[in-house]
Amino acid sequence: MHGKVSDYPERQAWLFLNHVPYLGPMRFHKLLIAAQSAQGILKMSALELTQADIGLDLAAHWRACFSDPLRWQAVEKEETLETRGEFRILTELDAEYPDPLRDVSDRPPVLYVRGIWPPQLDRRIGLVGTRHATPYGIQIAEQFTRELVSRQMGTVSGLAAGIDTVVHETTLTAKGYTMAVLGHGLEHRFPRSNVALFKRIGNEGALVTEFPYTMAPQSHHFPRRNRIISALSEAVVVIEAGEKSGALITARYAAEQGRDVFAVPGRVFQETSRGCHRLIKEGAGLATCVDDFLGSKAAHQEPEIAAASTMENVTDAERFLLKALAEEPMTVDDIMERMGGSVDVWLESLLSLELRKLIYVLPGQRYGCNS
Amino acid sequence: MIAKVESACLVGMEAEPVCVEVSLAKGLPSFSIVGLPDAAVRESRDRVVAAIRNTGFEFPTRKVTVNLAPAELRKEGAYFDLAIAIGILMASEAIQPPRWPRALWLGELALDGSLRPVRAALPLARGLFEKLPQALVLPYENWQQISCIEGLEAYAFRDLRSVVEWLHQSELKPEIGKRTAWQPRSVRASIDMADIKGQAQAKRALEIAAAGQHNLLLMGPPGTGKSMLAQALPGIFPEWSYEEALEATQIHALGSAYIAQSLLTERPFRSPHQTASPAALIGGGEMPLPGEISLAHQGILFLDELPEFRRDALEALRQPLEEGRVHLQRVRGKAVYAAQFLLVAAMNPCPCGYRGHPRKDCICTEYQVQRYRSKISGPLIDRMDLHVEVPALKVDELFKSQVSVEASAAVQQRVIRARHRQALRGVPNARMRGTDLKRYCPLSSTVKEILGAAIDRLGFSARALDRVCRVARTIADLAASDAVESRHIAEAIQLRALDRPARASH
Repeated sequence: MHGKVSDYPERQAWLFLNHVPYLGPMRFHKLLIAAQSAQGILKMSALELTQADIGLDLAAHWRACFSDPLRWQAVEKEETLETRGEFRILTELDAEYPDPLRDVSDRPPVLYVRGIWPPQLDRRIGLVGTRHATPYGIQIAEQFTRELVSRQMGTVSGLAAGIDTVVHETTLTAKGYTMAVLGHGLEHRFPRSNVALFKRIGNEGALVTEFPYTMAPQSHHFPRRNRIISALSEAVVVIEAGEKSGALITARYAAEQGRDVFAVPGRVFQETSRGCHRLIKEGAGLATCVDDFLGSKAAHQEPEIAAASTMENVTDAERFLLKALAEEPMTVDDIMERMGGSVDVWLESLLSLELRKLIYVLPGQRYGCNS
Repeated sequence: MIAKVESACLVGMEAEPVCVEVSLAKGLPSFSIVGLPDAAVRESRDRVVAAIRNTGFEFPTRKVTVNLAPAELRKEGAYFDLAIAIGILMASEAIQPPRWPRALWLGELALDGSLRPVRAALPLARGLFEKLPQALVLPYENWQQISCIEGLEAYAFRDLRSVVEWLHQSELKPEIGKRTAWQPRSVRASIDMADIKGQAQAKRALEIAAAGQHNLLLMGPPGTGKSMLAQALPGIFPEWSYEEALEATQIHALGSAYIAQSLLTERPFRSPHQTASPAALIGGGEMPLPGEISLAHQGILFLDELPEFRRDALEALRQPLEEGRVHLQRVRGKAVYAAQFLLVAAMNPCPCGYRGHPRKDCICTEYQVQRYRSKISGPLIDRMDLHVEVPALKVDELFKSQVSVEASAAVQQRVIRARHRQALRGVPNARMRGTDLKRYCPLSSTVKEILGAAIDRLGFSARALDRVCRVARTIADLAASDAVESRHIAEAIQLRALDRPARASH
């Protein structure tokens, strides 16, 4: 059975307080100053808690929580899992707690980490964007990521669908180091479409979360986890974001934490680029290539817009097709109606263009132009 | 007194000859039938008695025993009425024919003595004809059906009285109708390819499917004409041959109370509802009857809303798709039914249906789409050679007159030519395996380069390589080309939408 509260070591007390509901990082740090230690917080009476600006009801609730053996069992379970090597638990007391986070006012007191830690690379860039990525955004994300990996930089993102997924996947494929900051405990896998990626990052990169092992994903977790993404990065690049995208929250945190914010422009009419354009208006840097946000003055290398060599073998018909597709994505029917010809011929040229990455296919069998 | 009359019945799909023995003996008047008769056979007692009396004969007031041999064979159906009646008349010496024809006697009797058609006369007659070529005596209404079997000698009658009269004539002069030459009806009138707006790619896929017997999956938002496309398919199939029609009709005759005038005139197009059970699809019942896949033999099986079908029903399709027939084992017997059909399936791209729609937004998450698609198992998808998206048309396209429309008849001509090329090779393209594939589908280095690039750059799944080659072979056949060229492969890759991962959502 458990002894008195004071018997628990300080680190365990930290872990425990991370499990207490409504006890967020802000309140934790405030109480920590008042009580001098986590053990001290656990010993605070309801009255002392109210003196530290905690509501009476909440204080009573917490007092009940502090002596709830079930909650302590959850902490012990996490510790056994840690000794088994499932993941690592880092509190602010640990030396391996990431330094860039220590300066953040609402830093998480506890981090759960699975994968390679401490990080292989000290320099990391946060690449974030919408879940509803367009081929344009995907292309940019792939290109930036590959370029970053080749320059020995790590990537940080949020393992959501869309841009985040592309960033993580591309980094791992290029044998780089990527960090995924989660909005839930390590027991869960979210989104379900990324289960395989989740495992891969757990082996070849690092999964980072402030949420206890069994915490399920909840919608309010995700905006919150963005502050860790920005803190772990030296700059944040918003690749594609609509007006209400969570990527904008990351950008805001980044600005608050003194990180550089960059945004990739899109077409003016493009809904998924509106957020980026707003950021640029508000003063974010304009990112068209990796050098823009790495701040290196080295020869500015504009992204390759369909290199000349690939354009060489394009036939006249194909050039005509590319021009038409550049205006708007079309189905095979549209193409035939515009330019006549038969299906089999168009299908062949479409594949040959696609293999050269000059065009892409959208759901609904519509073809769009990459340049 | 004893009389023997040859008859037959169907056991599953097999025709079995049955000898009807009638014995009259002294004793209390009674009438019993032995030899594992089912209810329909037992009840023939009452029909036979009434029919004999109403034809103007006396029913013998003796102990009548009818034995159906072989004794261990379970007999079903009302095939034996005529044979029993004739046997009783012979045994009681009410009739004394000058000669006895060697024939099998089939027919159900009405109470007034007229002959009613029997079920499944076609498979029965055909099976018997293959086993022991003998003449058949049967009801007039079955005549049309079996008249298509070449070389079969048959005598058809309307009632018991005319059968008796015929037996007493000195010469065997059958009362039969004229044999009608069988003719397939050319094109299914309902939907012509020219009636369908746009959808060039899907139409091309239909053509390839018909030419090479490739199973086809159509994917598209609701209302884009997936069902219409499928219904246009019979119109571009080659006209069917006598043999094909015979095989298909035979199964149809078994499966239902189908008593047709003649062979089916058009290819079957079956579209079972999504709630169909595995037994409804592949066949079942105590004594297994053919299911939808066998009824679609030599024709088309159309499964609309594929993911809504029961998983076990879809999985049951796998073996017949591979083998072209289905083996059924049930409580009271087993059967093998032919099931060579072209599978055409249609599905929405996602649960809400609007993924990739130009005007409506899809509200499904990536995971929902994934789960929806995973309702169809990998092995089943593997058996589909073609998967194409059927995009929604834009508003202006709906009202536009078409640039180039090709009628079904023109497409059919190409299909027939392509099938002819395959017939010369001896294997339908969709059934080509390892060695055939190597022999008839040699890949040049440029072709291999394209395939390699597709796997590398498009994330195309390498598992589908054989399928792509088969489809490319058909495309080459349609173009009357002996070699499989790079453009054929390119088109084949474009017609396999599910083999490449898609990430973009706009």
